[in-house]
Amino acid sequence: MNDKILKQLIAQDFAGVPDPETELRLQRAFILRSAGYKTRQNSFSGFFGWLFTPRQVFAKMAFAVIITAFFFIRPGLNTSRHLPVVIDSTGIDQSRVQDSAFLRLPGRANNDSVF
Amino acid sequence: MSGQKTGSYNDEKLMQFILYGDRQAFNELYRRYNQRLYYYFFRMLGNSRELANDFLQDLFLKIIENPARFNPDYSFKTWIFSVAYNMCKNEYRRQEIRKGVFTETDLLLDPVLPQEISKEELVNRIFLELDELGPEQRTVFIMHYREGFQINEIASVLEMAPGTVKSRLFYTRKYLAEKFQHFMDQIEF
Repeated sequence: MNDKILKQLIAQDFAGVPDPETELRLQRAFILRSAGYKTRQNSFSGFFGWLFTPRQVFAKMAFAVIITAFFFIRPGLNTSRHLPVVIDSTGIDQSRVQDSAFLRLPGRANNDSVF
Repeated sequence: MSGQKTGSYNDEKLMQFILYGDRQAFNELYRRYNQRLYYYFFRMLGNSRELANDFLQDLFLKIIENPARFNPDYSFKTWIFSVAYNMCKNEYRRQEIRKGVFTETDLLLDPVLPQEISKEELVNRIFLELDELGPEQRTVFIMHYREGFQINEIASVLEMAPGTVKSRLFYTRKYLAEKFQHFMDQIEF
């Protein structure tokens, strides 16, 4: 019996098959475990965990600076009434906007519109 | 898995899917390895079906519980057999299985082989003789002759030098040749 025949002999050896119950038990275990994975995927705990920990603090600070700068730069969000532009998606200050629907006619005391 | 059949993915990719809770990937991986690992445990743990089933289940439970333990940069086959080997080694340590279970079979073993012997019986005799050796030798033997692992792969599983694996294999062959002297005319180990 040489090495090749020994290999053949061992390769053909049959020791039976695993218990099918083992597979069923493993599948049940996997379902239980994967349910845990999905809950974690859909939760915000990971995000809040990241937000309130010192990890990547410089990235978070840079993001905060960009947001703050955006609020300062954007004119629509400026609440000063001396600035001329007052129109954005949230509303129109009609007292300072002239359009076809709102005409101030000379000589009229009140501000009623005339069509 | 975007509709693609699990069978077309390699083991390492399937492990990545399992990490995200893909049941199909797990079933496919189990289908690929259950028979091989069952045989390995069966022959490593004194030909016990009960132990083989228990160990097979424990091994796959380890994958379910913590799939991130596997590093996808390495071979899954090598990794899973190294886990299986470590489980067997721990079992040997825990129960002193060689002294407990195997001694009884050794006593029953007839030292004289019959003139004619079936293949099945011959394999059983070979493994009974291998029980005398340590788990390393038995693992090397099974991995080489059953699984067709290369020397380097076995070395990786057992975390030893390839030269040591070669030496273990040589020693095992020599040991079997001595044990089966009756077959020397027919057997050339």
